[in-house]
Amino acid sequence: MEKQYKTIGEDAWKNNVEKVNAELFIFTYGSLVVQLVKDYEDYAAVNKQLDKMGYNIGVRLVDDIMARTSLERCSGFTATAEVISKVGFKLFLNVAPSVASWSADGKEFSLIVDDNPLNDFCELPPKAVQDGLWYSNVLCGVIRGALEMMQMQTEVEFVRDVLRGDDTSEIRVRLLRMLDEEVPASDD
Amino acid sequence: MATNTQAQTQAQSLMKLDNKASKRSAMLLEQNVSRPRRDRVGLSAFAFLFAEIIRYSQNRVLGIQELEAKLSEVGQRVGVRVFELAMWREKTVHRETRVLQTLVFINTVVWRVLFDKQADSLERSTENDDEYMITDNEPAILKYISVPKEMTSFSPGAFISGIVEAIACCCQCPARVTSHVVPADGLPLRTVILLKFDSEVMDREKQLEASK
Amino acid sequence: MVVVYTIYIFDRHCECIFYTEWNRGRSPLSDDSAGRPKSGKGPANTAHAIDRAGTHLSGDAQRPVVWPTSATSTAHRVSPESPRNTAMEEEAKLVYGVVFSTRNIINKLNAKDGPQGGNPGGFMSFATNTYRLHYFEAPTGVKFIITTDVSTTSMQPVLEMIYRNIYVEYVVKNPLFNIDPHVSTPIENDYFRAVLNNYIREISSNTAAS
Repeated sequence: MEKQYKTIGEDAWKNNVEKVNAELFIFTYGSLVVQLVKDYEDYAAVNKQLDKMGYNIGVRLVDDIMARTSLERCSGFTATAEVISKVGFKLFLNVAPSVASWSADGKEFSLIVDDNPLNDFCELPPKAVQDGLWYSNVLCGVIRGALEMMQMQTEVEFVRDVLRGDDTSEIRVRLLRMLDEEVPASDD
Repeated sequence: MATNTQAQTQAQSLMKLDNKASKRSAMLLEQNVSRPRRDRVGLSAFAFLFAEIIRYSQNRVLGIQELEAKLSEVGQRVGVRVFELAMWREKTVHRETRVLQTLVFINTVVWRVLFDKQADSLERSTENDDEYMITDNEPAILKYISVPKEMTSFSPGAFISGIVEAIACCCQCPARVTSHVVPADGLPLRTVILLKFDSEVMDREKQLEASK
Repeated sequence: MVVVYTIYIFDRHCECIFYTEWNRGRSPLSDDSAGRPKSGKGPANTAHAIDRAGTHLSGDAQRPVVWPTSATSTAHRVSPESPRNTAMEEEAKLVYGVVFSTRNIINKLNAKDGPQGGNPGGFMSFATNTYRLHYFEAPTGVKFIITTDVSTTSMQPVLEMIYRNIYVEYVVKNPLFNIDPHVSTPIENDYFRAVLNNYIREISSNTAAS
């Protein structure tokens, strides 16, 4: 299964995705974070705003993934995890974090983002580290938004980040529940 | 006593933090930036991010002009970094300080770094000596934008003009830079970046010209 | 030869966010008394010059009426206060009801039904003796419906094309189209309309596509 998604992701990246200079993207993200820090003057609020913006991105981006590949809705959460890593991350950031640390009930896993493009060139001031800024928090929102469009309500958060001095960056994804499809309101 | 221990733990945690931070610094210093560490990301990733930047800015401003100013501000911070990298990677050691050299530098080197191509044209305004125009027929990063009727004067290229403004400034040629959508046949988002150089720059140009 | 009558797009909230028509005789959007003549020979408006995808958009009049629109709509569109709007709303609801129940019963007969919805049963089209309705559901729950003449049997590639290369490119990726995932927003995007209209004209005049 892992391999199958890897192929789908790589094929789509090679043949079906328009690309842009990575540094332009990375600097633009950095500039956005700086803007938020200036506007909010509070790192917790910046985390929240980044997550919100990520969510807005995620709810749209999922259609782009579906349009560039011939994926169907995932049959289970295990497959979902693989798709996020091998197809989702691949098509947008050209990296594929590894999936790890599944919980016993199969509703929680981690994405180990060894090579996070957003981090390139970035060093956080000690104050930002101390006050708990998760620089790439936008990624959590993206995952949460995208999964909601696939009827999965989740909690997504960073638990480790190299920018904060950890050995690696880790995003934890927790499935809360499956969402029902909306039905048309009846007239009576 | 209790506060003392508290202060101690805080100091310890700060030190730990400091150690961690210096680890990151060391890592960054070891990075070789003379060539890009990674090549490409998805254009959609940029488009979605840019969309959110527009939306975020839109909610914090009153009109189109302010919105463009916000986007330009975001672009300027990008421009400063792009400039540093571009200078580092170009083999030339000197900085361009003449207007024309600066323009050519933006038109070719900067555009290649940003958009993998040269800009489509570089022209001097026929009306004003201090005005120059860089035109991009199809800015890839604006590709998906369809400006609604109620916002017709909005030019999403304000982000690009911000980048250009910062770079012109880094080249000692400060200018006021604006962006304008000037559609042509089949090119709905053809964008003209207009640079109006500060009067001191133009005076300096004249002096340099005279001393030749 | 494909004769396309109508296109409907429904979002995840069961709301019609886009409707347009080409060769429809009488519809809630056309004036009842002066219903536009129905042409059996393809689109009545092919005589107009085709704008290339993405040209600057001035030829608004060359494009069919779209619905629904927000309050800021311009003259060429149907205003929300018009009685025609109410009739159109009613029709859209009924269309949604029909495809929704049809898809559900097909899923059920295939033992593939579930509360998350989707189209695992593979509902693609149904026909009456005057038209055929084709259905495509994106994995994200956005639903595309197109009605054509009866003899056009497969429009799946066309619907997929509209989703993948027109809807996603010009609606989803447009930063100025506000997708609040919890609120329905009509598609009022000029490029989308222009590109879609060109595409439909193209397949209408292309015999190979049928």
